[in-house]
Amino acid sequence: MMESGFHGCDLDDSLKCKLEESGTQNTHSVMEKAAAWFRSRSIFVVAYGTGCGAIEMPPTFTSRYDAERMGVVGVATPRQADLIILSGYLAYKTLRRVIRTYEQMQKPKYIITLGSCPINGGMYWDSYNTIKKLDDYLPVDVSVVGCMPRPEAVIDGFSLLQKRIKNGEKAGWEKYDENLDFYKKNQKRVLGNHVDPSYETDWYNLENGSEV
Amino acid sequence: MKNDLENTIKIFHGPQHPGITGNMSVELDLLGETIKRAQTHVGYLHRGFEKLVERRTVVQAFTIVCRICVPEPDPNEENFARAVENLTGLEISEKAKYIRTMVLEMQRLATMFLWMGGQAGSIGLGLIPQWSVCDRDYMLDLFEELTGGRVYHMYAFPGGVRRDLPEGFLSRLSDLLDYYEKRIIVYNNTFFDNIIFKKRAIGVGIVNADDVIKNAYVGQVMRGCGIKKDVRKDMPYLMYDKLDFDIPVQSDGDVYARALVRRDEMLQSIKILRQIIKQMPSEGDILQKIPKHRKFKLPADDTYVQTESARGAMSYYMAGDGSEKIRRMQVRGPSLVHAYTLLEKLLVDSQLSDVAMTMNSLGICPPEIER
Amino acid sequence: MIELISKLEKLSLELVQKQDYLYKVEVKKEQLESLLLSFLNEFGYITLDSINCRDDLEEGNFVITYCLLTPKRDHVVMVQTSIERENASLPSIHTFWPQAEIMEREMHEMFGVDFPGHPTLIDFALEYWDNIPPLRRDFDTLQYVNDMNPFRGQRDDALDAKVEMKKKREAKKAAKLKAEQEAAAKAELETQNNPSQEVQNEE
Repeated sequence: MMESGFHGCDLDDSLKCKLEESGTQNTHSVMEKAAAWFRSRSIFVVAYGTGCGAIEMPPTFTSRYDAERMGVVGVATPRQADLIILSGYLAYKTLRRVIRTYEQMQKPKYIITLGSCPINGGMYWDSYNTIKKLDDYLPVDVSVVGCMPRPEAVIDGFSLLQKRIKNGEKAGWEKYDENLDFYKKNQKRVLGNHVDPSYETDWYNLENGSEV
Repeated sequence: MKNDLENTIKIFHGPQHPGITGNMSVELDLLGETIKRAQTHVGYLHRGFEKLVERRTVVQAFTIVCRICVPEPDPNEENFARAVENLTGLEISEKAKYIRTMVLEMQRLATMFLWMGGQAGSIGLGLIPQWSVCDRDYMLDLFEELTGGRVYHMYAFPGGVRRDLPEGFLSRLSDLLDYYEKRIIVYNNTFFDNIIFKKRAIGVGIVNADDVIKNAYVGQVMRGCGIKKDVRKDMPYLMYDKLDFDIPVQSDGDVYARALVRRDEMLQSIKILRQIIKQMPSEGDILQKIPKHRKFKLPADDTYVQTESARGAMSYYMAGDGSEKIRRMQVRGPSLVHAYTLLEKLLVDSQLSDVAMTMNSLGICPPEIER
Repeated sequence: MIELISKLEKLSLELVQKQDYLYKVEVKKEQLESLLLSFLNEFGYITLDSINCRDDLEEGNFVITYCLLTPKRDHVVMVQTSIERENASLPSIHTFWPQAEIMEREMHEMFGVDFPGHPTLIDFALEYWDNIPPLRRDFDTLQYVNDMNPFRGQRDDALDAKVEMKKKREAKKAAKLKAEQEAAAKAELETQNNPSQEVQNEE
């Protein structure tokens, strides 16, 4: 479980990635626009059923609501996916796995959360085992509110994300790379030193993470 | 044997896995494709419901109990409402009883359709989920009309139900049941008689009938072994003692037998719903007058209630202490024993490809294991 | 049922009927293991449905309830015992009923009850938990949550609910007053106009 270099997103790579891509962010060549359009029409989704919202995933993807007509297709593994759907509240134990899953995904990658719980705790605001404010730990692109959101709302979230990808707006994973210290500090605060995966850089024992 | 165990590889089946029934994981030791040891891990969905309920009054707690089991919230509401009624001695009217029975049976049908999608999807039959999840949605539309919520209804309140039936609701329900009866014939041809399903499911995941009673396996696991027991008949609640229905059983105890039991239970649910539509009283109170929520006190006493959910008997232990808050509410769903005692035993010496199918046929629902 | 009552009377225990299908018997901790064994082997209650635990903080004890069923499954018998909260420990019954293993594991994690002889007292739902067991009533979940997970701050344009409600109430009062005044004025007008109307009607 703990080997380094095994994970899709190596830390040094991600920093390089940020430097290279931040330069090309604002140029809008025809090729880039075309690539963004194509990308927005073929989103591969890994649906991590972290909570109640998982029950609305089958209706969304099957014949009645049929999200596949939007170009949104479910896949099994995080490495093939562009988008991870976190469907509901996150227990600390799940958050560890979600961070690992997210960091295994290839860039570009996006996060959609379903329900009120990842936004502000929702119904479980006083529960000792769930987090509030998921965007402290992972960069959320689109939050679909509701308890739980209807399939129409989920599809609306997809189309909002597609619009953003098409317009070339700055995505969550770029923010994650830029503010990695902020995210890692928060992750360490709630999960302690038991965060998988471990990296060669000793992020968790830094005195002040933002100085690096 | 020792050599075998040294050569095994360990994989985690879940928590992020398309073939798992929710957010849980099974740790498997594999020798080739054969499972040598299985261990269940839960806790990915733990919210501490029992703690949250202790901090709330009855009326506040009522809104969160339905979230304990996501695919079928209504048995939870029914259990909670009945436990509070038992403790405080509230009597509910006949019409409210009929409506609650109707909601429970509607929920059972909806859960069975979702199960059918999962069971077929777990062996790679992609057509059945496309159909059955859509058919379930028609039931959810009726739920939305009746209660205002698609999945979580918050409907069965201590003392009755929250709303009266909308006008013409029973005729629309009757139309849907006609449609379902036709559809079940189609499912029977495409899924239950499907040669692929038969080849995969017959003889897999056989539960030993001797273990069933002692180890408290419930629901279709029990009835798939030929034991004709059902809480609706044995300890009748609501209107079940006035309704005519059978308990379907099969004798083989494998995945296929459990599937057939579920199919027959769907037909029985339709039969019950038809009787309810006929017998539903046109007039009557739907909600007993209850005190305001800050004055709604539970006596210092305890009770234990059981409801037959779509996956087996679901029980609540509830205790009050003379104040507005609930002293203790403990949930014992059917999945707790199925996912640990039974699944760990069943998976040994079975194939990796059968894990998802076996889990689906046991009806394991992780949110009610750990609450 | 009468048989069971007489058998329990021999052990100087009393069976109480709580509901239609629910009976309860209370025992001391020392008697518990032997009573459960005789329920299993002699009285025919071979199914253990659940083990429930309740924290009575004020009395300083845990109340443990074992729910048992016969193969007929037509009634439930609750065998209830209470143990001290400090250094709580109970005999493990996983050798009688295999499903008790997981129920006891959960109780160990959530209440800190010890079960000597239990083979797997490992984590059940929690991971790396180092606080007091969460379902004990002296564990303050709100305090814990506020320390770990502060609330999201409000939006810049968010309004204070109390102030807004007060404003709304005052506006309502003012509107009511105004309506009353208007009604009074109208009534006055009508009384002034009435004679002329009557004259018109007569015409």
